[in-house]
Amino acid sequence: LTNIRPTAGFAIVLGFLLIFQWKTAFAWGVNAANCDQHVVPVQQAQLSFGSIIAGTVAGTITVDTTGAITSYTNVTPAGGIVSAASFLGDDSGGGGPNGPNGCQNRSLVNVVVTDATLSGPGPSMTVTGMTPSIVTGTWAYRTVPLTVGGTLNINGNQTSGSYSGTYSITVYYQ
Amino acid sequence: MCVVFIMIFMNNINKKQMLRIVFLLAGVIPFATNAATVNATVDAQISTNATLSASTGMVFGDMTAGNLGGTVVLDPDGRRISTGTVSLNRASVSSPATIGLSGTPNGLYTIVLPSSVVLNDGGANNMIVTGFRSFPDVGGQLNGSGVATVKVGGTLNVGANQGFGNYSGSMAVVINYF
Repeated sequence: LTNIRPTAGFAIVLGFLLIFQWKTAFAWGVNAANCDQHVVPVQQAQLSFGSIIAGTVAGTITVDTTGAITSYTNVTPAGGIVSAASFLGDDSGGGGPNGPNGCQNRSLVNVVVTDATLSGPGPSMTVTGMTPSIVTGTWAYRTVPLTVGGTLNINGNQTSGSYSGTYSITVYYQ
Repeated sequence: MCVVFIMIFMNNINKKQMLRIVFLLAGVIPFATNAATVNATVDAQISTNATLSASTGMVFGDMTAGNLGGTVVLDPDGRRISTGTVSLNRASVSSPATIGLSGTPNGLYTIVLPSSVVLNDGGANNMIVTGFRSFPDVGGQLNGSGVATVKVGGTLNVGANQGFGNYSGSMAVVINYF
């Protein structure tokens, strides 16, 4: 008997695992089947700093997550379209129909936004300090936009014209 | 992978530990983290810091209306012609309006001209200037030194037997900087 105890123990454990796996499969099938869809952020509005008059020395201008200019140094805001970036979640790529209401929210565990480099007629500019409106917690991704603000770094005597660039946003969720 | 891991070490753990692992797994699997990355765009417009450095008004010069009247057309380049019974006094000075701009080198700008301007002799007589034209026509770019000149001409409409006198008015030219 001493020699077969490990075998018996193994059988019992395997039984537990099988039961556990069955319960897990059952739970996903009933409660979370449609919540297993992949949620991809889709840009609704782009981050725009509007028109800016550069100074003779380097400066900055910051747009917050509401799209407001909250601070600027050594430059002058000159109107134009100023807006924060805005994203809603798209779950259509995960297969299956939309789930019940409980499935339309996601619990975010992190949001990572990279810096951007803007190119145009003059020296390149960078956008740093990207700030998401939500980092953790529930994201009702179909109706509540996740917005992003940041700080544009402008060179002294920056050449006038249009500048644009890209950055990436990664949404980690459960 | 998790299942294999437990089976290998099964002999070294007791039942209590084993259940602890099972419950631990039960807590982890349903809450696996997902991630999605997308690229997004950002833009900004650096504007020209520009000012009006100098300006002079539009001068059509001296003329005689004649019994039918007509027009005096003043080009942005300074050429002047008349139509109808209007005759020009070539000895008099005429010139297009001149607007000097200065600001950020290579800065862009556009020009918005008035549609019409009324000239008055200080009494009851009026003439209307229409057909405003500029050079450059709709906009341009400051040069490498941050300087540009805009010239504006137009068409003066002279009535039949237009009353003698000096006529004047004011026009607004809007320069938009980018």
